[in-house]
Amino acid sequence: MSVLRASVELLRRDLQLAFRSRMDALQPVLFFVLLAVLVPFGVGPEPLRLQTIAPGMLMVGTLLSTLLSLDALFVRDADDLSLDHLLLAPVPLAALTFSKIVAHWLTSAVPCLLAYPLLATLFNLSDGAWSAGFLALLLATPTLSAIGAIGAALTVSVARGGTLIALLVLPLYVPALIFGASAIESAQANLAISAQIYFLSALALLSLSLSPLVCAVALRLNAR
Amino acid sequence: MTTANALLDARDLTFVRDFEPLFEGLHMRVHTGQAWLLSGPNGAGKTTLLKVLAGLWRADSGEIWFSGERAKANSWPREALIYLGHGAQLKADLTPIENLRWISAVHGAIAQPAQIDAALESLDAAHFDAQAVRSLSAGQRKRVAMSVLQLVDRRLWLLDEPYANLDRGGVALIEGLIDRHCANGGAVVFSAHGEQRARVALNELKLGLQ
Repeated sequence: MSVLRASVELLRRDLQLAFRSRMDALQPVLFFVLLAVLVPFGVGPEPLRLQTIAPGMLMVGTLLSTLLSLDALFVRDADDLSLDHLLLAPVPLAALTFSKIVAHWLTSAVPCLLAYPLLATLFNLSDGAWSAGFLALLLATPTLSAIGAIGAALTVSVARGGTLIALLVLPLYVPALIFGASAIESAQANLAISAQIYFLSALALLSLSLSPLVCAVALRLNAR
Repeated sequence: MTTANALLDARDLTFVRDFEPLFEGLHMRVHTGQAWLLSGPNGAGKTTLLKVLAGLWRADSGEIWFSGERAKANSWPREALIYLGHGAQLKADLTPIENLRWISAVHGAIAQPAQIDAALESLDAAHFDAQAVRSLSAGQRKRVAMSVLQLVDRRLWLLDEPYANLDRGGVALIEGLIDRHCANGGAVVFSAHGEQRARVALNELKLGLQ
């Protein structure tokens, strides 16, 4: 019971903190929207061309906006030493890192999902691909948070580790990127997307169950 | 007293930093009711020793036993001890009350609002309990951080510079906490500079003399 209570209280704390500094928390999603606004200036505003690049751009935008918020995951706790309390807690550290991952998803992915209608409009997604895009983002983002947390935990003691996190984590994002973009593409071509959705779900479950354990080990190794 | 009933028994601890031993062959046996002062110049290894005892850092050699059981890296007896570092370990955007709530929950204690109020009150920290920690002075933060000791029930307290930044009244309150904890069957290992002393029978470990 105390494990559950500790995890819930930690989740509550992180949401409270995100709410207190909500302008900071909204920066990644604003970045994503700006990216979507800027793309037509670069590639030209023809609707057909935008539709062609929409699957890839939506997924890459999600990836990049997730990266922007990863340094908040453990580095801030390490900076103000509150991480010590998590490392010293008698509850399994993996339960606490799971809370941190959930909090990260709620504060970084959910704003992106809320901005999705706007993003889909900016890329001129057709009605058929609209729901596929939402589903792809919904199922890919837990994987991004979970894998990103591993990178954040590994680099927690590295000064200015933000770039290092990106280098570590981006290659691991490839499966989520491929299946997410492929799901939207298939929906645009009126094809079934169940295969991609199953893969995205499997990736999310796998990474969510393994990542807290890896994060816990990485944080303990980094304590010294 | 035999080894078995020592609350903490550190045997032959060696900690190497940059190829130089910070301390070597260190022995320390802490029994219930004892307060241990770690003294020594800056960089002597006081914080390091406390972190090793807390299980945050690993010693290069030696053994640490708690109540007759050897502590292993993967099964450190975390429910027997609490470590409070030199920094405040608080979230700057939250109030003292909110901070104490998550800290005690993480340590497996259920802190009711009334208990949190009482803990802050006893360290004379209740009048700023609704301000964000960001706006508090270093001494006020220290008082909030030390309030954790009354919410989380642990036999062994490992305190790094518990008197740092505190005024005379604050020092007296912390001394009282340490005295009471030792009288109630706990034990405290703490580091300090200067003349601060807990009033209970105090043992001193001088570091940095090799």
